[in-house]
Amino acid sequence: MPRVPHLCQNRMPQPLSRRQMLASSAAGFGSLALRSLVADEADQISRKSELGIPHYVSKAKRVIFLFMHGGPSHVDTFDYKPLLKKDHGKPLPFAKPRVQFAQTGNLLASPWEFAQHGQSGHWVSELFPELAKQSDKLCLIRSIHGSNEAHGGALLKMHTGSDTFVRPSMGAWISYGLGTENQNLPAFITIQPTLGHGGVQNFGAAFLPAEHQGVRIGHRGANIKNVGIPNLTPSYSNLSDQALDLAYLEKINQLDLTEKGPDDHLEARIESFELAFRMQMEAPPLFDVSRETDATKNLYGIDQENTDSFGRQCLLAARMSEAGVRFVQCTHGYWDQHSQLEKNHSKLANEVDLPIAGLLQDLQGRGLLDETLVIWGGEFGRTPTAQGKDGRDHNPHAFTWWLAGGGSRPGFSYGITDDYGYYSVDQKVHVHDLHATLLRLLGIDHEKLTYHYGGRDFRLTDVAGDIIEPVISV
Amino acid sequence: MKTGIYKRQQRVSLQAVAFLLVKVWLFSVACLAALAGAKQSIPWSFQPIQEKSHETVDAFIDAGLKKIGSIPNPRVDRFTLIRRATFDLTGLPPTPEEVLAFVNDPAPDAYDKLLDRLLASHHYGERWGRYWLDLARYADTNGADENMAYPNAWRYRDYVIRSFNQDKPYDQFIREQLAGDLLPATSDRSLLADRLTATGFLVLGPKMLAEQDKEKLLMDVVDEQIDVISRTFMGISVACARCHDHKFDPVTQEDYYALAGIFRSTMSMANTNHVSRWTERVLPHPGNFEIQAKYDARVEELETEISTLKRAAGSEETKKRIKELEKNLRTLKQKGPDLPKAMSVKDGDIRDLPVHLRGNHLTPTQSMVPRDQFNILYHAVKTPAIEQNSSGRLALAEWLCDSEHPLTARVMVNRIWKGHFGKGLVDTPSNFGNRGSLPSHPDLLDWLARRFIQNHWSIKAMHRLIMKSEAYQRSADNDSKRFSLDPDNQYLWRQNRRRLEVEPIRDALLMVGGLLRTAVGDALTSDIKGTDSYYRGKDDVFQTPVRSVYLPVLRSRVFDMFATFDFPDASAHLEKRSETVMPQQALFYMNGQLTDQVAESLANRLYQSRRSDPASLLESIYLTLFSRYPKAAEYEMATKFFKEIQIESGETIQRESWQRWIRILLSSNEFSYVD
Repeated sequence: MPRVPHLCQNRMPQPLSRRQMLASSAAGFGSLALRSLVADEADQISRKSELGIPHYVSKAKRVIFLFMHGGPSHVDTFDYKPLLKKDHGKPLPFAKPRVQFAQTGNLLASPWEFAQHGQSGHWVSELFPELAKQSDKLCLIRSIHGSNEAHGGALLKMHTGSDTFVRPSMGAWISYGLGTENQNLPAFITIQPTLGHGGVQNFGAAFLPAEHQGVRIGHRGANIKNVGIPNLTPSYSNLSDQALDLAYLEKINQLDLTEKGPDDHLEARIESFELAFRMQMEAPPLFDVSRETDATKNLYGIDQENTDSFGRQCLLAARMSEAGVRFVQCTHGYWDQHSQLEKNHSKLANEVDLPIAGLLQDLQGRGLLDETLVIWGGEFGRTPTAQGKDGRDHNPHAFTWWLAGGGSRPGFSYGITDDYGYYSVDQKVHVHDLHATLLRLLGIDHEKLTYHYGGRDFRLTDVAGDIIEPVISV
Repeated sequence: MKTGIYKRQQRVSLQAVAFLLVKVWLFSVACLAALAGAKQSIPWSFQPIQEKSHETVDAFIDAGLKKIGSIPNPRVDRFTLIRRATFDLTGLPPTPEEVLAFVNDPAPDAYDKLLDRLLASHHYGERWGRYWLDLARYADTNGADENMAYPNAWRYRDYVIRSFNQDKPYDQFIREQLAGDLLPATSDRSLLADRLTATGFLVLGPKMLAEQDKEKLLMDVVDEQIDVISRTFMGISVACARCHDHKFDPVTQEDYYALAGIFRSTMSMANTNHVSRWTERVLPHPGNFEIQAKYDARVEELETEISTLKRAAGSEETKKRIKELEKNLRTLKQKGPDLPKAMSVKDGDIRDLPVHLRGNHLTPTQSMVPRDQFNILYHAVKTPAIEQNSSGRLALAEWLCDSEHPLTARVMVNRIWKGHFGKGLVDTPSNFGNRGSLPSHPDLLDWLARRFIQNHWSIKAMHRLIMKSEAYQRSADNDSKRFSLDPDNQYLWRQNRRRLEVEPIRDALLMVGGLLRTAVGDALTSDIKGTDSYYRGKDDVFQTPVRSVYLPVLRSRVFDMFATFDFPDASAHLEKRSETVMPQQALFYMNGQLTDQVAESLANRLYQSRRSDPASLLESIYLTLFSRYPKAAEYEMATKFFKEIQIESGETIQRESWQRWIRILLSSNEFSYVD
């Protein structure tokens, strides 16, 4: 059943409640609402049973994906390499990859100090002082590797599993597999995604039914305070006027239908107006951050200069997630420091550090962390060798992601890179393995989440993917 | 080039070897799976096109209906017919004047005249050209990794629209797009320009411009070209044979690499720099001479000024000035003369390719495949020999246009049929292979294909043939008895009700509001300027009230309204649009600005002239929006609505009330569907 998020209670900007609204409308507009709701839920249940979901007992019900666009440097954040400092300025003692994005020189020490934190003893650099305090919630995977050295390909690989073909994004797959928890909201929302580097493909549905594509809220560069679902603001100041129009619309459509005879499409379209009316009631309060308490705002760094933007993203994500949105993605950038690593990574880390720490604490405080899988990472890492004098190049051969909540193993660390962090060497985790593991945490067997298209069955993980069992909490 | 690869291969690091081993393993799993199902039978569509003796479309349809013991729906009235035909051929609703003229035309050939008028309208090409652009994955930006603007893509778009309007024979249309640059010389400049522009078809695909393995980039471009060509023209998918023989259809890896040789010998990329660049060619244009002369003069002017200054005694100021001028000159030379260009290809370094093991350019085998050894359909059409100094694109085009080619004509007539019935005789328009749908009326399909070829591949002749049939003119209404015999309408006992695609929805909205700019040449050439940047156009380009086909198509940033109504990302060939019904679409009508503007504009227009006569005003609204008169029940409903909202505002119906009523009608099912 759809749940009304507690955050939004008593916040309806409209003068009437939904129930009053539906009851007051002239011809009982809304009579179909319940019927269509039941029909949608029935569809969802039948698809799940067809796919046999859930395949596993699992805790995670939904995902918040904090995507760090541009490729944050793992060797400056979560993958501590003491030798890198010691051998600063020396050549890399082994071969660089056959294909590189740009040419790099000798080893470059990290400008930041590392320290161990919490009971987990995770090594975290000074870039993330607040997040470091949440170390014991994090499950680090430090041996991720992909196959594309350029942003576009790497983003597509990370989001869709393929940098060669147009494939559904992981949010779309999860929406397809699990459906929505709230019929009044989309199952997959992406907040301020980048429109470059694959753009919509990164949250697209490809050949999956279009309802599974991510609903985009703004885009990178837009002001977070002005974003929302298009056309969600009612065109009438008094909603009962709109309800009256919709009641007449329904009459007109019913008359048309009676003359033409039964037609599934026409009937579905009549229902879509009912759904839209409900979405219009339920969604806007989710975007209204203004009435949040100061304590909550401070927790996320809202209204503070550097953290306001990403803080709002994280708070929106928490609210949407709580309201039952299956997959919410936040995007932050642009972590692409081919030069001036120190200056820019400092600035970027500062923008996200407090909001992310706030998000984790808030979710825990509300008892949601257990069933919400938070994931953090970029499309690749960066080279331990220097590009120019003070930058690092793209490195798809090793990078770090972390998971928190949702049944991931807290305070745990998995995967090993070489002494300098250029290549993953042990307990390697390919992007396909990561996808398989995420699905597993949601109770889905990645080999069974398939869609038949163009003559064959497709999966998020193509023909690969191994579940990384150790990162799953028992 | 090849030795380079081998050398690089020898330097592969340990890690890469390990990585490759994993890949090899993965591929071998895939290959084993492929082998297990490797019995590819010949699909029905590879058989020669049969001659059929029937005389009309209806003879085939009626025979089918008879078989299931059903009778068809009656013909529609003329109101419905003109709306259907006009949307079908132009993507716009008929005006009230056109509706009344047709309905009241007593001439026996009134319908023929209607078809003639619609087919002669320049809006025809805007409608049918747009269908083609879906197949050609047309876009104005690259998408993929680096979303560069394609500042000259619009020329291809306009070429397509022009070709449909000219009723260019389809075989010629194919030749031009695959090999326009290789056709025999002509002194006709605009023909020459069209032919170069047509090959933009090959260049429009998304490319991983920043891929640093440049040989992979080039092979990926070739792969994308093979994919779009095979699915568009032949209705089969060949691209999977890059890695292994086709699992379901008789297409081998050798076939693939023969074709790949043709396109690897074609220059589609101008360079393979860090961020690579596609090819563009200067179009022959009478103004070119002048542009070039102006450019040359400017270069000379700058050079003279610089050398004069250099000879003079060098004060600090002069030195600064020289520097500045030199910079200007460099920029000018870098940019070159501003001549009209089109995305286009030419033959490049001619070569055959070997089969690549598992599709990987790093693992070429020893077996080279000559470019003319694509033996798909060998039993039906012999592959023409390809000369050593030619890529072979023209030969490939001629092979496709052979009147005995079993796929080319069938696939195209099926697409035309789909444009008139919403569904093809083959329901998988770009998959005529073993995994595609079987034709509902195989004999009709063959008959149409033969007619198509006999009529010199005239697409307009096919429209006439299909639209003159009774099957086309039938009512779309439901009927319980006929429905129970054939619920999916496989046998076409009725016309299919179709939801309009986003372009006709938007265009119809603008048109009924009197806001659409429809004059010939009222196209947005392109908001996309700048040759080396991402698209940074303004969002308000989408507010330009031109026909939707002229709005820029931005991969990765599809216009909101378009994305809401199932417009594709345009990154790949699309055989048919999906037709979703989503609450976001309802929100568009309920709260969107466009519906508001349109309702207001129409209300204003009608209110001025007819406010004193509500019945006639209502009549005008229904004629404009639905191409018919309102029914008694609808008069009543409107009256009741006005009463309900006017309680406090007096006797006469206010303009605002009309506006509200219009908005409700714009949101109705009838506005979005064609019966």
